[in-house]
Amino acid sequence: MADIVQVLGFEATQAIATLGRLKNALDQVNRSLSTFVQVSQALKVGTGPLNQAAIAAQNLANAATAAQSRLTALGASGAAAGNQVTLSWETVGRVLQTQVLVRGLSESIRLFQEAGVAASEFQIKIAQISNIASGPGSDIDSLSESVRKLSIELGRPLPEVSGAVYEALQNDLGTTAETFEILRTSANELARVTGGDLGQAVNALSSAIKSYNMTVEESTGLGDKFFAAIDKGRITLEELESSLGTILPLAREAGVSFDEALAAFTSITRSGTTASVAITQVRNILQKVIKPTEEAQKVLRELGFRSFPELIKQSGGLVPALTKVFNAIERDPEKLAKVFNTIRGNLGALNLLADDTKEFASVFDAIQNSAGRAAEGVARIDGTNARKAEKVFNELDVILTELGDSTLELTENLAGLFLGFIKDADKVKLLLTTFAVGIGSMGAVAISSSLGVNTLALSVARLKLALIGVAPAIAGIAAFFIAREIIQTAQGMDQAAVAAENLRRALVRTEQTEILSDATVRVQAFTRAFNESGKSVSAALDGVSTSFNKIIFSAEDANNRILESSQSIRSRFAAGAESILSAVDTSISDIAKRIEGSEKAASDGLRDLADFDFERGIKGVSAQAEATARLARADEQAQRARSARLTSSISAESQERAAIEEKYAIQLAKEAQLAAEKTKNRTFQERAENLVREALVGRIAGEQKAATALSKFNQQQARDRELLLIKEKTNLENLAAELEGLRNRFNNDGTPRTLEEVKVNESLALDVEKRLVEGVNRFKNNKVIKDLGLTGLATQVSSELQRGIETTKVRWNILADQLQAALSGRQFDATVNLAQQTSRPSSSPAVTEALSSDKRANPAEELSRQRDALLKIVELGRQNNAILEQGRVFLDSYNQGLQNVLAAANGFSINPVRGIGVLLGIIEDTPAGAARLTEKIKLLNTEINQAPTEKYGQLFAQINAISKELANTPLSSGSTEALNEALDQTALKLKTLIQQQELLTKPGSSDADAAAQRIKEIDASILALPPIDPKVSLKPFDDMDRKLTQSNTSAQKVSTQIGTNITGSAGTATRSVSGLERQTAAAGRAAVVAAQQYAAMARAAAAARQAGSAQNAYTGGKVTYRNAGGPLTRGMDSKLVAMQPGEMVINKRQSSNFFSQLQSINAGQSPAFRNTGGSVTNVGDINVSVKSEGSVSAKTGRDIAQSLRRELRRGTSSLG
Amino acid sequence: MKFRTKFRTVELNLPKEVAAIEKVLEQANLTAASLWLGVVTSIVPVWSSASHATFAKLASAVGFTLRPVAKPSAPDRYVLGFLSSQGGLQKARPGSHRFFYSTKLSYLAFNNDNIAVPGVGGVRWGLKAPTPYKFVEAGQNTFENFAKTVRLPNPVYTTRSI
Repeated sequence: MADIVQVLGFEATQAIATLGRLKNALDQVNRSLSTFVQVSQALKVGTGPLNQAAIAAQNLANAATAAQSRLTALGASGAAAGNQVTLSWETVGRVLQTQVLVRGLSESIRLFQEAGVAASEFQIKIAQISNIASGPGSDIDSLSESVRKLSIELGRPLPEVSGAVYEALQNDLGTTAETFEILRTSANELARVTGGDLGQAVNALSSAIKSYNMTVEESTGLGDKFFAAIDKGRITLEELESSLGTILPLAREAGVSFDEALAAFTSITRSGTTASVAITQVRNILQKVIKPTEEAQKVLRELGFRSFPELIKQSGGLVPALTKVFNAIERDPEKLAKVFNTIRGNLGALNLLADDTKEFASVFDAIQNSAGRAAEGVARIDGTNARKAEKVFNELDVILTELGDSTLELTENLAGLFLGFIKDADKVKLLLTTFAVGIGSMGAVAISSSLGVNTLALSVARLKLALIGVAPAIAGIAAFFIAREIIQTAQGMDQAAVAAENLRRALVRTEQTEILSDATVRVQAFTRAFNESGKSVSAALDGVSTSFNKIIFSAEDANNRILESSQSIRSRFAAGAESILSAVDTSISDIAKRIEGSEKAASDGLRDLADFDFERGIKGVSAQAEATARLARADEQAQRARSARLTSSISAESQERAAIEEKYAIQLAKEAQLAAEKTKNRTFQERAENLVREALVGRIAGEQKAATALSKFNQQQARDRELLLIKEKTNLENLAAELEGLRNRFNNDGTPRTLEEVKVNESLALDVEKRLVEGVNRFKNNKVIKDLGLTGLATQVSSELQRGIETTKVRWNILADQLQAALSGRQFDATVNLAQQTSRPSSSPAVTEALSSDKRANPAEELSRQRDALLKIVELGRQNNAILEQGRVFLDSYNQGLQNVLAAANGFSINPVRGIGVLLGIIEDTPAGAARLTEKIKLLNTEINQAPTEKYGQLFAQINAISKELANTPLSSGSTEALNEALDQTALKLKTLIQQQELLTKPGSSDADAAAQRIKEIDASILALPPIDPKVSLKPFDDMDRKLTQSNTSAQKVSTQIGTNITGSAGTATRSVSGLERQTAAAGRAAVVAAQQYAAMARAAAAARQAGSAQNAYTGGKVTYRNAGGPLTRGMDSKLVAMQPGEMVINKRQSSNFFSQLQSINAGQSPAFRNTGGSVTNVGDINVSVKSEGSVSAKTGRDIAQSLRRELRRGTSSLG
Repeated sequence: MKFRTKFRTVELNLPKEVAAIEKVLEQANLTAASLWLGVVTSIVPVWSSASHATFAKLASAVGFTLRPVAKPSAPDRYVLGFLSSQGGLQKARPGSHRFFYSTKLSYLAFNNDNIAVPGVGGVRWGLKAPTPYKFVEAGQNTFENFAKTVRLPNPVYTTRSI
């Protein structure tokens, strides 16, 4: 058995969704309005089409407001009944509301299509007009322009105006200009006041003008007369236009005036006679007037007239003439019938004569006194909002028609677009038709909606049309037609409301018994309809907002691109310039080093060559001459060494070079001393001793100076690192200040902030803290910090960092609590009070610790000292920077300043006169007389060490005094000079210190200040540049962007060219260096060869010098100076020997005598003696022992033989 | 010259309108369910109270008084009916308000659609009340008649001109 399942209920989700879309659509309208206002203001469109559109829109808004008031009243009157209005009528009301919009869309399609057709029809019509027009202004372009202007001026559709122009020209009313004037005045007024169209008015006027041969001036009042006739009679302009032509020529021929003919016709219609019958009656009367019947002629004769025209002329008009005739026949209708002899003519005459012609007289009087009536009527009509709206729409139609072919194409596209989203519009229309209207209070909503959309759409349409042409205006034009339909619907609300009210009442009456369709079905139908209409509304309004948003987005995008481009270019320029400068510096430095190295190598090579020449030159000269030459050479080298030392810089290369010069000076001085000793000349010897002493002293001083230079070099390196440190610290200070600023902004002002503001603040704070973390890590890991003993400071900074991070966490916790409170309905307060956080439940231990971090373990004094030291670092570092930038301080002063900085940073006192130590060392070496001065200088040194810098001047004076006193002290000459030199050096250092001190105490370089000021001005000028308004036209942005791109490209080319030049220069320099290196290498090789040659020559010279000693030695004695080697070229010696000191030479004769003994000695054997008997015969290194016991001879002979065999076998002896 | 004009448009208070719709539909659903219960319980007779017990859950959900008492001559099968049925209110999403009823009580389902003949469909003996009950159709008709009178709130009262 099947189970029972039943689910029933109400489903309104689609309705809610549709309401949501409606809300979105309305919101979009609001945003679009806002955007539109902003864009309008940005575009500064104050006059012209937009202004006109705005005024027109305002007028329309006023009209719609009036309609709204009426509808509100209507809604109020139906309130009681409205309480009983069923759901279906409310639903219908909403359907109506949406239907208005859907119809607007549908209508827009139709209008677009019509606009295209109208454009082509208009062109054809103008061509037709041109064919029949003549005179000035008859060409197609002029006619088109005139017709358009006339259409706009008259507020009449273009096809109607062009048709009227054609009719008027065809009627040949005058020149083209006169024709347009008639259209502009009489015809327009007539058509306006009578509700007819312009063509009808033209034809009616033409009938009169042509029939009575009126001039343009005479036709001025015709419009008023026609209006009076229409007003008095039961006729329309159309009837006048079609019928007057049949009576006016007859009237003119009969002598009846236009006014009377018109009055006759009009008065007949007042009796209820139709216009066509009335015109027939008048025509019959006139025909009989022109061609009277026999009875009529009889009466005329009785009256004394020959013809009716004569009677008319005499009587003052047709009707008086008829009256006379009527009276003449005794007012007998039957006789009158005979006079006219036609039923219609008889009826017409009776109609005119009825009531003693009072009816006719009334009409005739109104026609004759009608001047200005039409103009008044036109003014009243034109003063209505409806007429104003009509004129605006007509003008827009004209503009749309002007779009010509573009519009035709646009129409096609738009039609496809719109058809896509309103394809079910017919269903909605059916709903509207079926359920009719339940306007009531819904009308007010519809009008309110229409006002907003209308105003926006009108303005959008005009703005687009006026400013940017057709293509971008799709959305705006679409919205315009929607609005137009809404407005038209709103204007028709009065009639619709009446109809709706009637229908509603009828339906309410019948609803008690009527079985309506099921509620769910109706709700679903309603929601479907609402959904469909919502889609249409959303799509249309999306188009509007998208159109504006595109402009704004494009502008913003352009702005962003410009900013990015400019920043990129600036950074690229900066990076490029820095890179280029760095490359240039590197190249120059590298080239300088290479050149310097090459020069040094070349110099060394040349000096080696000079040495070689020198040594070669002194060969064979006397000892005195050699000593003189070597002394001179040593003097020259001593001068060079002094010069090198005096000009030496702090660099290691410079110091090394000076040291080399000094060592060489020492070597040459010692060689000169040797040469001087050979001469046995005291003067030479003393001079050589002085040279050696001076060289040694210079070397010692040089070593001290080199040590100092090395120390300063190290200090410079430390200073460079310290500058980085200072920079890092400054960055940290800035970051900390920035963070503090954010905290203050966040915490301290007590102003509740929005959540977005809080988020932004926190984001900024986190970013700053992130950079702070990086900076602090760099800071505390910096080796310089450790070298300076500032680890406490690093710890403190880290502590502050940690504290900052913890407080950030606290803030986030507080924010989270507050946000939660806000979500739970309590008021959100983003103000953070860190002082209260300990009482918060969410406070963590870490937070508490961070809060108590103010009670740090570091003593206040230590922190204060470290801070002062850092501040001093910063201050002195800035001064040093200023010194560097100015370039006005020599390197020593700079280094001394750096030393001061380092010393101050370390908290050490300064020892500015380290040269004193050198001085003391020299003084201690002096033989006598310096003890007193030594003590005094020691005291002075102590005083200097302890003195503040401002006392340096006084100390300098004391040094000078000591120097003078020292000069008068009886010391040895060398000691006095050394002391004086040392004191001079000390004084020089003090002087330098004073100068440097003066520089350091200056507040700053004016040049540097000026440069800083200039930089500030540049920055300020950059900041002062007007901000780019994203809402202005795109073209300037594109131009700027293009120019910036071009500039960027040019800059890149220039940069590339500079790079190429630098590379070329570097290549040239490299090639130069390579050449120098090759030359240096060649010089080096030459020097090596020269040195080898020099060594060979020196050995030869030494051998030559020892030749004398060798001559003496060949007779025995100690060989001296053979270590230098060399050939023996004098005496009887024919063999070269190499001997060591201590070796002996035995002459030839004694060698022969004691050959065996000498051989034994050379073999390391002591010669034996026969002190124990027996014979001892030594042959070479062979010892032969012969014992005296037994057969000595035989034994001795065998022994000798055996030894000889052994000797011969060894090859050491031979038997010859 | 700058033009000055005042733009006017409409703002819809959607939350307020949705809340109003919810309120109307919720009340309508309760009323509809009560009406439905009133009709069906008037059609379905009480004997063992099992059939009426199938409506107990829905009645409890809407506050409808349902006190079936088994006839003295019948066994009390209230629990059987209660356990073999489901009923209550549903609100699956905003704007959707339903009530539902289902039962697996076979003889009630049979009697609803068929003429009760002893020996057919588990019917042991004939019923005094006319069958088929058609209470499902009757309930639906009642609902639909009521639904025709339900009005959605007019958004004009949650719309304002700005």
